[in-house]
Formats: sequence, C-alpha cells, structure tokens
Amino acid sequence: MSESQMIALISDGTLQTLYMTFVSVFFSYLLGLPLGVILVATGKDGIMPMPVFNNILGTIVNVVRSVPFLILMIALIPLSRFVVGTSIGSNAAIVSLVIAAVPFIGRMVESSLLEIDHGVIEAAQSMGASPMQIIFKVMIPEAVPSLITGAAIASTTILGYSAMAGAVGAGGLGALAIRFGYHRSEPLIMYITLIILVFMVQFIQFLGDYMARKCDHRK
Amino acid sequence: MGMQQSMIAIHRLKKTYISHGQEVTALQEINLEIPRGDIFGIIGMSGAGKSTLIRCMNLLERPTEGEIIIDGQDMTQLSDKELRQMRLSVGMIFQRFNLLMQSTVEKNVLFPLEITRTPKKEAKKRTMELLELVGLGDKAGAYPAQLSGGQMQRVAIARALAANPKVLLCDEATSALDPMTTTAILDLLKNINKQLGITIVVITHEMNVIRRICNQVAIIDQGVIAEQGPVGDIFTNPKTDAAKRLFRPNKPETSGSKKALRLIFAGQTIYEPVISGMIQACGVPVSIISADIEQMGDGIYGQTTIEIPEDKEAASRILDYLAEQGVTTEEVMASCQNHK
Repeated sequence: MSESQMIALISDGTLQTLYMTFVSVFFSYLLGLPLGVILVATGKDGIMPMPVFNNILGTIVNVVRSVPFLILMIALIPLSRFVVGTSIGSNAAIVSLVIAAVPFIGRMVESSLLEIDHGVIEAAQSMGASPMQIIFKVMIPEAVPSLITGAAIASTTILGYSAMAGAVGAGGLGALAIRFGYHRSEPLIMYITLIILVFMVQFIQFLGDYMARKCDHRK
Repeated sequence: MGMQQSMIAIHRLKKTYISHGQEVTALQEINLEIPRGDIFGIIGMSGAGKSTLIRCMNLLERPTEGEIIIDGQDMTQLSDKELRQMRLSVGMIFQRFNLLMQSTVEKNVLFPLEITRTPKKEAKKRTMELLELVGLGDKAGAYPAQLSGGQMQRVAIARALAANPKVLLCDEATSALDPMTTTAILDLLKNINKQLGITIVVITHEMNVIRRICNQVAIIDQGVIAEQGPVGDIFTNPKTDAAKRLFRPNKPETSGSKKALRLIFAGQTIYEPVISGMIQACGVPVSIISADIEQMGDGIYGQTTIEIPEDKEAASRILDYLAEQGVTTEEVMASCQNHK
C-alpha cells in the first residue's frame, strides 16, 4: 500500500470516528440530560418524588447498561435499519451508540445533580420557585462544572464504543485497526490508529477539565 | 381581624416523622402568636425541634397536624400553586446561606424577581437598592465564594427581601458567623425590621441573639414550648427549668456550699443604689459574688448575686427590704454554679 493510500485511509477513518462520536454525544445528551434530571427530580428526596416511576425508570436504565455494547449493537441491527435505512456504516452505528450511551449519561447527569447542596434547592423552594424553575435556574446551572466533567468522560467512552462498533461494520478508526491489525496482520496502521485515538481521548479530557475549571465559580 | 390579627398564628402544631421504623415526635401542641412587625425569638438547645418548627412555618416541612396561619392564610390548606405564591411573602435565610455558588451576587438577588417575572429593568433597580441596603453595593459582580461569611449572609438577606415579603424567617442565621459579624448581622436585621416593618422570626440556640434583637421569646424544649413572653419578663422571672437554664447561664461564683441570693434588677431599680441602700437600712454587710448588666430587647437588666448572711433575722430583713424596692430575688446555691 502506498503512503498516500495509507494517509487517505487514516484521515477518512479519523473523520468518520469524529463524526460518529460527535453526533452520538449530541443525541445522547439530548435524551440523557432529561433522563438524569427526571431520575433526580422523581427520586425519594427529589423535588417531585414519584417512587414507583423512579424505580421502573431506574431498572430500565440498569438493564440497558448491563448489556455488553457489542451484543447491544447486534441486537439493535433491526432498529438501525428501521431508523437510518441500513445496518452498516457510521449512521447505523450512531443509533446503537446513542441507545447504549443514554442510560450511562443519564446516570452521570444524575450523580452531578445529586452533588448540589440540598440547602440551595430548599432556599429556592422557600422563595416560591416551581419544580421547573428549580431544575432550570438552580439545579442545572449549579451543576455545570460537574456536568462538563461528566460530558468529557461520556465523550471518551462513546469514542471507545465507536471504535468497538468498527467490528460490526461501523467504519472509522476502530474498523481500520481491526481490519489491518487483526485480519491482515499489518500492525503499522493499527498502531497509528491507536495513537490517534489516544490523542483524541487526551484532547477531550483536557478540554473538559479546562472548561470545567473555567466555569466553576466556587474558586 | 384587620391589623390587630397576628402575623403568624400557630395552632396545635404537631410534627412526627418515622426514623428507623419508629415514630418520633419532633413537635407537639405548639401554639404561638407572633404579632405584626415584631422580632420574635425561638430559642432552644440543639435537638429541641426549633429548626423543624421554623421549617413548618413556610411548609418546607409539612406539619402532621395543626394550623400555620400567616397573614390570615392557613398555609396547610393551600394547593402547591397557592403555596408557592404565599412563599413569596415569606422570606427565609439560613445558617449556611444557601446561595447559588455559580451565580453572581446580583443574579442571586435577582432570583426571586425572576420567579415573579418582574420586568428586567425594574428587577435590576430593585436588586441594586437591596444591595445598597445590606451594604454590598460594590459587590454586585462578585461570586459568593469571593465573599466572607457575613457578606454572604447579607446577600442572602437581600435575596430574601427581594420579593417584598411580610415575614422574614431566620433559621440559625448567625450560628456560622463570628461574634462581631453576628452583631453586625443582627443590627442589620433590626434595621430592616424598623425600616420596612417586616415581621422577623429568629431561631437560635444563642441567648445573645435573643437579647440583642428580640422583643418576645418562646423557649422550646423537647418539642414543646416551655415558656413564652416578652424577653424582659422571662429574664426577670423564668418559670420553667428550660428557661432558667437559658436565662441564667452559669457564672463563676464562690466555692463553699453557701446559700446565695440572686437579685434581678429591671426597670427603674437598675438606676438606683439598691445594694448600698440595703446595707445601710439593714445594717448587715454582704459580699457580692457576681454582678452584671445586660441589654435585653428594649430594656436594660442587671443581676447581682450576694451571699445570704448566717443570721436568719438579718437575712429576712434583707429580703423584706429588697421586696420593698421592687427587686426580684431568687435563692440559689453558689456552690452549685462553680463550674465555668
């Protein structure tokens, strides 16, 4: 394989990985953030306690989280086909990635929101704030640094999952690493993809930590 | 009805909760009338139920039984929406301030005005006025973490006042502050009471707080109100053990197991040379074990502990003289109060 072919393969794979990761993170948060808020708000000490509902939701979250990602992906092939019209490629993988990541992100958001001092929520209640006002004006703004740290962790996890998705036809750097490192015994490309993945994880983590620190006003 | 009616009336309040499978009674048979414009203190040791009581007033905790009537409205009968509306007129400040740590001082004070959807311009103006009132006009852009404890409590006070409440509930508001800051915050509360006419309810375990700003006090002990009345009256004549424990703090006195007499000076007696008069009139020398004088509510009160002479007849002469002068007396054992 020529050098230019190799560069084309790798840059293509990198773009696909970035695409899968960012689109998946976006849709996962679109669903995972409300899920986390609902988990906290309906909890036993939440602002709208609904113990039965909270239990059912928590159980569903745990069930989805306990399915290994690779198996979940295979199980979701029919769904992917239904949603994006195909069971292979980056878009198909995004469907699985989002479904795997939503419960995980829900739990991350939940733990960030639970870190908030309950006294602040009580103060808001004492001022006549409604549950919705408490969620949007107190809980989420107060948890921003922790939510950002969580988002960095979630993004790197989704990045890792997207590489795994390469095993079942998702494309991206993971697919390259498996194809060349495993099926063709050409470890060079595998090592290069690994190095790129490491840099991506480092960068996301660094950015997350930096932003979390920047917007934390507790000093 | 009308202006005569109490700002807060609590009738037969009871609060129980379940802890480790057992029912615990936190409050029982609580009856209180808090007059309009008053600064009303509720004092008790930790665990006496005072925090539960104040939290029942704005229904942060729902009473098990009884009525909480604020400005003619029974809080326990309101729907969620009506309760939120009502809470706008009942401000609250807390021991640990409970400010939004990720928002500036200005945003914190704006918070209740955002809830009431006050127009932005008006809200901003009101916020600045309130920050001026609490002495933090120059801190609008600061974050709470950059402030001292006393400053944070000032922000919390400004925030609690933003929606123009009729009542301000203070839950151990000075307990996390040093004595000097405490004094400054108490003076601020007193000013607010005077300037704005807001009824203030103060929960505390510190006698100092009651003495400095309260007109009336209720003593809560093991979930019940042990005693209540004007601060001066309870000081001069505490009836219950709970009141005596709080209003007669131990003072270093002589050792020896001598009977001693505590004299309480209130009103006019404080300005008169009662003891030297007594020595002259009775012809008995006495030694003074301890004495001090305190500002309390609206008045000044003094207390002096003297030894009782061995001579029975001389002792009764002293008692008669003091009664004639209008000094309240109380027999105490000096030795019992030897611990510091």
